[in-house]
Amino acid sequence: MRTNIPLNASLLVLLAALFFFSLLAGRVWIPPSDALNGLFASGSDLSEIIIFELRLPRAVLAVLIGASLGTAGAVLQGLTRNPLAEPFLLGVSAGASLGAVIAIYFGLAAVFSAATPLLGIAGAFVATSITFALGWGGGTLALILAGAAVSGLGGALIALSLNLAPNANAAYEIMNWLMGSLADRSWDHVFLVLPFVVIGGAILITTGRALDALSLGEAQAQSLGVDLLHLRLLVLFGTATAVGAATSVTGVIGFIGLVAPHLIRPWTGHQPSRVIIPAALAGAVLLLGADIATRIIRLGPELKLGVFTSLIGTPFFFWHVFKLRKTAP
Amino acid sequence: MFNLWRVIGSVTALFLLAVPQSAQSAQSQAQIKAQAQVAPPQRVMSLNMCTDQLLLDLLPPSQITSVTFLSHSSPNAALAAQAAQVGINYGTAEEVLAQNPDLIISGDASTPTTRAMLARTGYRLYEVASSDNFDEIRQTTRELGIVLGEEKRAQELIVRMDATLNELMHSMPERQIRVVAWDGGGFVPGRGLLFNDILNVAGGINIAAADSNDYLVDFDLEELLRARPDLIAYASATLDAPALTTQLLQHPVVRRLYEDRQITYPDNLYICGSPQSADAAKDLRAAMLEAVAVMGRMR
Repeated sequence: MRTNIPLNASLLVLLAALFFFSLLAGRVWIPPSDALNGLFASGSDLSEIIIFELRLPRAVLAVLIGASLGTAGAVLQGLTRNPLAEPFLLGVSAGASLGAVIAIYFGLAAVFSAATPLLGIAGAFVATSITFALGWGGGTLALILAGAAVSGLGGALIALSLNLAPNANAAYEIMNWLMGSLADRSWDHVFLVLPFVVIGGAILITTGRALDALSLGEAQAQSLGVDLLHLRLLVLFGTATAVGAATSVTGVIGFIGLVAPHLIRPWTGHQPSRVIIPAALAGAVLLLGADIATRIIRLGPELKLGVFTSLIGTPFFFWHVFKLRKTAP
Repeated sequence: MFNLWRVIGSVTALFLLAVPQSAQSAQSQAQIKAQAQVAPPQRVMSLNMCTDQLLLDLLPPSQITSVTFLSHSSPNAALAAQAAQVGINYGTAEEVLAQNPDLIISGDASTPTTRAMLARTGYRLYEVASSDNFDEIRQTTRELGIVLGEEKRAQELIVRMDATLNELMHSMPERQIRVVAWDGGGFVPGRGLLFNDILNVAGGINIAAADSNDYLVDFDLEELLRARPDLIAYASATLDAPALTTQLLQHPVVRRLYEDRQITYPDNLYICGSPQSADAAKDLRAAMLEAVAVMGRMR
């Protein structure tokens, strides 16, 4: 796997700058010097509590989840050889949300906290399997249609579970939750998703070489010794684990996985193995940036992160559809 | 515009409850008088959870045809027991036709299609505005008493409520207890909601309300930490069944700093204003004083 050191280094610098900036963004103004102190001291002082226990875990989650979405987007685009593949559009997020909703509203999350990410992963796994099974071999259109169908089914089942949920406020709450947010998340959430994000991300990164071979075509990849079924299963497991766990903590955050790989391709070219790591970093930069924006742009209540990423990502999606129309035979 | 949206959003889930619209009285005095001139109703039906309570307090069960399913399964045991003595409805027009009441009581915001349909069919319908403070409770109770031909009973309820309120007013804690009604969802009750009035009578001050008269105030965790309330109050209904908010309540910081400084309140009593809201204030006073005594910082 070849790495693009200048690109990765610039993305890391940008990420570090945003990370520090994110510690300053919030309702309560904390001077930068205090923010730096808060990074290293978990004291009882108001600024230390806000920095260390509210803003720091939030920034860490944004990086972890943005990186997961970026990686998953790059790998899915490589595997499907389809520029529109990404967790949100393929129904992965809908499946993960369904799992999380069931865990939250039927009391499993209260029994043991890992129930939410585990059911999120299970939901993501099932949803992704269905999308792949339905859409495989039918080209771009079939895959996107399968993803839309699975998203629709996930949405319907979420509505059904809310309909049956024992809590009267469930509908309002989940409407809010599904918009996606990192507000008021804690270190508990970080430690809850960290193992899954690391394992899922690691699995996805290992697929780079096989995806390179696959970019030549399925037959060519097989002749180069790539086990296609094995590869698909790896991508399926990796995506479901990383994105499922991430979604169970943040709600649905779309389009980061779509946009991140496309943003860095001008510098990396189209070889999947060269796209994955920069796409992960770009995903982290995008999500952290979007999360800062939700805290700075004040139109009343805090903007929801998922709403913001969708607002930014949808025009990009349109642009891509137009491009496809032009190049389509 | 924006506030209205907030309010609508936050009460979407509270099916059948009145949206706390402005204090405008739904009907003019003349209309009320006109309503009352008809013979006292004998088969009254309530389509709104808040009017259920008022109706059950004002009329004997024999004159009530039905109240909503929400009161029949209310977490408030006293209300559920009262409701069990009368019939049930789910707020639909079909039930109105089947039960054929001679007076229908509803909120002024809930079940709009049912109310529109009833208006067309000529049923006698009385709309009750929601009460956001004790003054409005007095007015609403008195007006409904007139409509039901139970003015004396209404007056008794109001006198009893005022006695309780007086007793509370004359035994205020030395220092106002600073409270935020925290549910982790980003919004907390502001000055416009009944919660605020109940809290003030109970001897607390809603520090999230600041100087805005909004029903709900946008208040996040950082602001909660900065405001350093003496107590945080949780709405108990949201704790009954698993929900997202019950997870957010458990934010480690809130848990650590406010573990011994939280009280719960039965929020169904705070959503529907009725003469019983004075008893809610009394209970809240007791809960706050107990919590504060535990803290050992006030009397």
